[in-house]
Amino acid sequence: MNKKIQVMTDDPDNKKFYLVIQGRVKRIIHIKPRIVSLSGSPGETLEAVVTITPDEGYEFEVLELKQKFNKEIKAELIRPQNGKKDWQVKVSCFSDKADDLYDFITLKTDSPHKPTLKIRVYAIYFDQAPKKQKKG
Amino acid sequence: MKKIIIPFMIIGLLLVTQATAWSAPKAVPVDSVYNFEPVPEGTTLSHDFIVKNEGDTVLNITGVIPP
Repeated sequence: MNKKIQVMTDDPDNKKFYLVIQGRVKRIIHIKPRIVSLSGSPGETLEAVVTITPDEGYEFEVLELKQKFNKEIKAELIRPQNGKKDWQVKVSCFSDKADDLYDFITLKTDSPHKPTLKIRVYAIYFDQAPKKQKKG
Repeated sequence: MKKIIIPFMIIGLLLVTQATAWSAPKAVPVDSVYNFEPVPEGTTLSHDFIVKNEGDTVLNITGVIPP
């Protein structure tokens, strides 16, 4: 990570200079995929599973799952099973017409490092082209 | 005697005027780069940057634009 802070002064020879903060930030929670993109035809149920894996020493509990719109897109939280530390979010959506759906899933955790995790979900239902009928 | 003093006074006045014109603040950042050790994401880091004024008038920080 490298961030620059611009400082302005009334020093005529140094009216503007930069202060720099740099170093390595370790990712401790891995979300796969971070953005869920689904597509299909009207009438289909589209599904995906998001896996959230903490690094060793950074295990957490999910306290709450919230959706911004909570309409056509559903999200279900699956706790770690069989001694594993992976949390999962099962995302599903349904539409019976051509549509663009979007939602934002927020997970509240007890991790002091990552108190919230965000997952974006997009789903596109394409309009089905009418099938050509053969004559004869 | 008066003839001698007046040029000296003028020179003195010019020097004072010049000195006033040259006086200015001089901003000198002591260490403009802060390298931090690896940290887990979500950690709050704090660091003080020091900017010295090596000029002869007051230095004003007129603005700071964060990243």
